Amino acid sequence: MLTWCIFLPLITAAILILIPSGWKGLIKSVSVIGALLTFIVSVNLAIGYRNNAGDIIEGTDASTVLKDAQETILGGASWKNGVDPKDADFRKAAYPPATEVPTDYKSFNPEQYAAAKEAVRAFASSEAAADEVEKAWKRALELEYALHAPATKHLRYTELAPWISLFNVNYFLAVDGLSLPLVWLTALLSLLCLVYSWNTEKGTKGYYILFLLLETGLLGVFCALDFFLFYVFWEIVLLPMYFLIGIWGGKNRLYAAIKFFIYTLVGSVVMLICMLVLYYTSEPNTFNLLSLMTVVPGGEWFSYGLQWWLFLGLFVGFAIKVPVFPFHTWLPDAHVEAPTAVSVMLAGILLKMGGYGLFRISYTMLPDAAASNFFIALLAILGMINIVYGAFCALAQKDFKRLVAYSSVSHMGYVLLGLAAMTYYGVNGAALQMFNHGVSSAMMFLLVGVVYDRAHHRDLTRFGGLGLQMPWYTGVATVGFFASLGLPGLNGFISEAMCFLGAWGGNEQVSLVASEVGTHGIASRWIVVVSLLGVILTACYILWTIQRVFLGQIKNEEYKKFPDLSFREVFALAPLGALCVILGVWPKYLIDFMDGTLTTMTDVVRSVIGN
Amino acid sequence: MLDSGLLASTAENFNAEEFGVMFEHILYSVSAFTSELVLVAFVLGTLLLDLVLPLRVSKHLAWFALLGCLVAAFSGGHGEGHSEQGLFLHMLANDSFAAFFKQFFLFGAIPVILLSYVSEQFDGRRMGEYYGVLLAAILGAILMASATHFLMLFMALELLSIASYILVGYIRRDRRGAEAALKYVIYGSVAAAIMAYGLSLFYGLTGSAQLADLANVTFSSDHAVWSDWALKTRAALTTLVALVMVFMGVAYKMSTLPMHFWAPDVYDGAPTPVTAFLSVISKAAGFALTLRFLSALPVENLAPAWEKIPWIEMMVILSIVTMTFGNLSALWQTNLKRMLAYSSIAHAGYMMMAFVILHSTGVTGAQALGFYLLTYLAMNFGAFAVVILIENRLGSVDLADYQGMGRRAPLLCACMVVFLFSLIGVPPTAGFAGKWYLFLGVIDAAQNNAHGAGLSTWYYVLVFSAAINTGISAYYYLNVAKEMYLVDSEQKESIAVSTLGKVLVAGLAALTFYLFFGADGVLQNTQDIVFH
Repeated sequence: MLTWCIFLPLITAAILILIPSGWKGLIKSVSVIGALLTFIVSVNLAIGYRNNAGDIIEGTDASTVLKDAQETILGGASWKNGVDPKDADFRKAAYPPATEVPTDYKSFNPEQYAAAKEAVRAFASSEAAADEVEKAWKRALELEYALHAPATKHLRYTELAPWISLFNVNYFLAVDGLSLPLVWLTALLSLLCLVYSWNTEKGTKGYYILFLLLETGLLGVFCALDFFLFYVFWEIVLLPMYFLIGIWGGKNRLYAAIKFFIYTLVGSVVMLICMLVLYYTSEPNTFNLLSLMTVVPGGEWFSYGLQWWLFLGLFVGFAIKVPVFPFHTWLPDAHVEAPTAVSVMLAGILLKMGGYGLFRISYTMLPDAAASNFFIALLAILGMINIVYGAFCALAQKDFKRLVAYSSVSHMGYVLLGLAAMTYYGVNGAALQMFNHGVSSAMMFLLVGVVYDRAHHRDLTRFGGLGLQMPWYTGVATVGFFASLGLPGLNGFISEAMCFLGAWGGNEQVSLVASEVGTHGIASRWIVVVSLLGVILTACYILWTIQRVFLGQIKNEEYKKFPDLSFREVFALAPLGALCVILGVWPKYLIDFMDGTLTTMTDVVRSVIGN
Repeated sequence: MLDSGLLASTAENFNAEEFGVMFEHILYSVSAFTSELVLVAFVLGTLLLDLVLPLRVSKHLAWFALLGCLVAAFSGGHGEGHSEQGLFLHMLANDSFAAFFKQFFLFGAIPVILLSYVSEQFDGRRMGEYYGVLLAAILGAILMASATHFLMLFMALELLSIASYILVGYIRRDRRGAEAALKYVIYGSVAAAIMAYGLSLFYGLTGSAQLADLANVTFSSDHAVWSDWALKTRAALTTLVALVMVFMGVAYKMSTLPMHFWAPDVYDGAPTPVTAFLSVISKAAGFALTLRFLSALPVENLAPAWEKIPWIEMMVILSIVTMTFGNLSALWQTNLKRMLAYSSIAHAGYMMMAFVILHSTGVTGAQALGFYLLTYLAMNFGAFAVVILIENRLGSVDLADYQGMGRRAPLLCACMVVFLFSLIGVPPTAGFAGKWYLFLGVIDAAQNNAHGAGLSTWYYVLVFSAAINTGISAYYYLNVAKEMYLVDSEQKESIAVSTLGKVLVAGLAALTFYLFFGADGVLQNTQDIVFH
């Protein structure tokens, strides 16, 4: 099902290639249908996951699939008579720690590994078959690691198939409470954006093809559980984004497109190096994210020093995408130049790739480094800078879109702060904030797009009094802006409050940002206090913007001719507005969704504190 | 070492048994040499047919030459046993490395021939000679990849070089072409002379013209006045000089620093299909030769002279300098051919990463280089194919003339984007797979201390530099995409392209994707590339 979800947009794009570029109506309809089907599949996934939160969904949960794969691999090797890979004795010899309680691969050391290898080779039917048997055992052991990863129990809809067997690269997909909301959001925003872009006249065919390609890349990133596959999807996103900004963007689009591309490319190539180092340090060598989660924590394979460097390298890759200060400079340029729908995807989903990477890869795979004083302080302080600095920058903007772009920088800071705290509140808040920001920033960019389509400029000083002229628009806009501001009752408030609560910490669970354990006083609660300033600043720039755009007298006679929202715009805005309200009133639905996955993750990281 | 037993069996003391052994060896060698012989036959055939056929038909000799490559590729006698003496008494190697490159050059010649066929630069010229010389150059490249004897190695190099000089200056009335050819000849002769001198030094040092004996650099140590330290230093210094000189010669073919300076001018002046040939086939031949040469250098059980030569560190530095220089210079180019010339220097820098993992236990240099060259073949020929087809209509290779090309030649430009992204190294294209494999090899070597523990840092620095360079290179490759798609132009009329041209470009684009998605199978095949 995940494969369908990911590749439906690509299939649609392939169909579009066959349609002559003159038939614009057909092109638009086909792509919207494609996006709609993808969305329906994603809803299906979400409902299925939700209904079976604790249970196994017929054979698609990760442990079943991994076990099956293990049996297939071992069954294919030629064993001595009387040796049965399913047998307890065999397991004891082949995966020694699996027999201990609690199962723990952290203590699995090179000597044990060598001993197990010898034991397994002795099980081979002949000397000649020993190499082949060893190969099969290595793959099986890798899957055994994956089975014991704490995150595995939350994964559903698993698909596993070999791809590049020489380097053990697999086509490995699954979703859990962390990735499924983002998959759903991607499918939703793509659908809304494709509808919103209905009036694209320039190069319609190319636009829709690239947009669908982008959707495939984004969905793939959130579903991939093999590092190689993850990287491939991560990079596939670059190509359509470059052209979407570069061809359909504003005046300064060439500069913005190349800046975006080079920034992210450098980040991801550094990530590539980290991935290869991880591959060669693990034994047996693996790209499987789940296996890496199990081998790394505190194990003997990865020294703390190596983890530290890997964390730094991966952080650079993800930080550029988030974007974290000081890597954020590509963001305002890219946003301002990109067409509205592309800005929506950029703010709504692309930024989440960085955050998702931190959750899925950095924190779960390298918890020792993540819980180290240096990185707690670094993430917390950078989060604080993002929040406050982003808000100050937003205050200073005269360009409507640039203001919204900087507000994104500010809002992504909450994610870092919540993550650095590593409390249940903080981590849940951070994940929720990613989702909420995806909804509210998408909405804000659409709102800017609506007014830009009419006024053809984005200069805040020249607006005013639109509230009288476009009452519906103003109403919807108020919801979006107040959600972004963090008004109680709307979604932004919940996640921001959770991030702050988490970062402050409580008696039951000490926030790493606030504790002596975490930071030795380099960073402590003053970070939270300073970050809280961001809330006030956010209120300032949001309220001031509302005042400048909607209130007062109409500044220009032309504004009197502006029509209110069209059906197309309502279609794009209404679902987002509704989400803002629903998640503001009843966030529990989404939190229940994510809680299990995130709690497991938090426990893993917290378990290494003090090591 | 020349086999003294076999050499002795000459006229003075004829020994029937030894003669029989030798005769069998020669028969074996000839049987393993069939592709080369077929190629020679087609070289002569092409030249002779050219004399007989009328001018307007001579263009179609391309198909005859293409047939020659195919026949040669499928008549290879490799794989039937293995001779301890290589071929023709250690003149040529008969290993899978040679076999791989033989196939690489023969199949790599096919796009060159097709590019020359679709190019309109040669219109009005008799083309039989061109294809004959091209096949001769391919023969030279094949011999370069398999030569294990100094003389064979030098002759193979010269065969390729002289054939290339002719190809570069093939359009007689083109002044830029003539200038390029002249430059190429003069620089090339100097480089060859330096290399010959280096080889002669090695002959003096080892007493043998065999690559296999390179490790046995010996010095007489009976000078009473020389201290042990001084002797060792003298030995190391002489060996170093010889090594550097040989490297200068091959660096010329690979267009790596410090012998890269000819590349932009010659690439720019040469007919574009020839530029494509130089940037892929000729370069690959240089790399094959260098890799074989370096593989003969010892890493363990060092002779005293080699002990002090840090050739791996030298290669790391040269690799970093080459890729950085190539990329930085390419940033400012406005002429597409010059840009691709500098890009090819940068790629030579990436390929040099293969040298430092030569003796690695994981991914070896030969495997990584072999796969990278395959990917490079697909993407670079693809890029040149697009340049040639557009040059046919515009008569220009200026980047400025590519403005708005995306609408004028949709298929070509779409494929060009694929090639450009592949050259940057972004998935899902061949270029990424190739780069990934190289990085994998170097990091493997760094983690497993392939060449001694002290080198890990060097390897990490190397990979990191390559990563940064990838970022730099994105700028100028995307510059082409930018001109084609992001900038609008007054010119609207579409570019007419022959069906063959379209098929060629689309085929290379498909190959670029295949080498990523089908990497599994291709990588399995590269596993066998080893030296004997």
